[in-house]
Amino acid sequence: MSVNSQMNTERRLFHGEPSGNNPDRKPPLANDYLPKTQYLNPLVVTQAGLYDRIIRLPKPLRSWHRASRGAAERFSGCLSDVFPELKGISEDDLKLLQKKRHRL
Amino acid sequence: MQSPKAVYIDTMVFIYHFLRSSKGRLTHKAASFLRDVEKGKYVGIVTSFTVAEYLAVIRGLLCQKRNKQVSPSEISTIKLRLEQFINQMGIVLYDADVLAGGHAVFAESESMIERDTPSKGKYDRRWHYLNGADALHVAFAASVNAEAIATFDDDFRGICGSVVPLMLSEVY
Repeated sequence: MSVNSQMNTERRLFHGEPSGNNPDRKPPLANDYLPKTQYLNPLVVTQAGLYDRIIRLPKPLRSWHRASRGAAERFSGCLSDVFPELKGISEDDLKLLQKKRHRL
Repeated sequence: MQSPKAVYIDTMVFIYHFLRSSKGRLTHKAASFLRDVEKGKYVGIVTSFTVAEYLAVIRGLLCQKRNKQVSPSEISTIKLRLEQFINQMGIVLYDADVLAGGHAVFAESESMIERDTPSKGKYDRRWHYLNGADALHVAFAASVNAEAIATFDDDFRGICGSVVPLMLSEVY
């Protein structure tokens, strides 16, 4: 299970959100599941190592959203267009850059 | 449909994509990977440390090519391009300061270096090992639960732990 799907499941459990497959579902007459979803035991969350992911993961400066179509293509070579000095740079130069970055 | 993989993107991937090289093998690979991010195959993750590193590399390159300083407005332009790209691609941007405050990032990077397995390159016969800045990136990636780090850099090959290297030169 990927981080995203796992986090979605955890969030639904944590906030007691309805199922995404059937959001209009009426609560069952025999309300067996309600206590489990409404009162998630914090100890279980901590033990499962989920505490960090649900509570302590900081809010990002920019959150994920669907990409604008063609964004990758639009920005391809964008700096070479702005700065002509960077046009036609060789792969060896780029590899050298990668090595130089390590001097940080 | 398979859910997207959370992938921390190495700074050089952006640089290869933003520059047009003469042969273009690496730039094509970077573009293919970023197209997959755009399609939603991966959830891209970066930190403000990535932005700083990107800025330093491009500014240094420009200084060398021109043999003169880069103006503040040009630095703003360089930074703006990456910010616009992150915005339009839906890449998740974390504040490195916040991550460093909430997690033991520096201790984790030390542990990363201890656990790293240096290896000798197949082609360049050079030893590859995790250095300080790379270890920080891996620690940031681990702190935001990224599953992999997308990179061209062989120095990430030996990393151990929850984050695995996604070697773009081999995958694409």
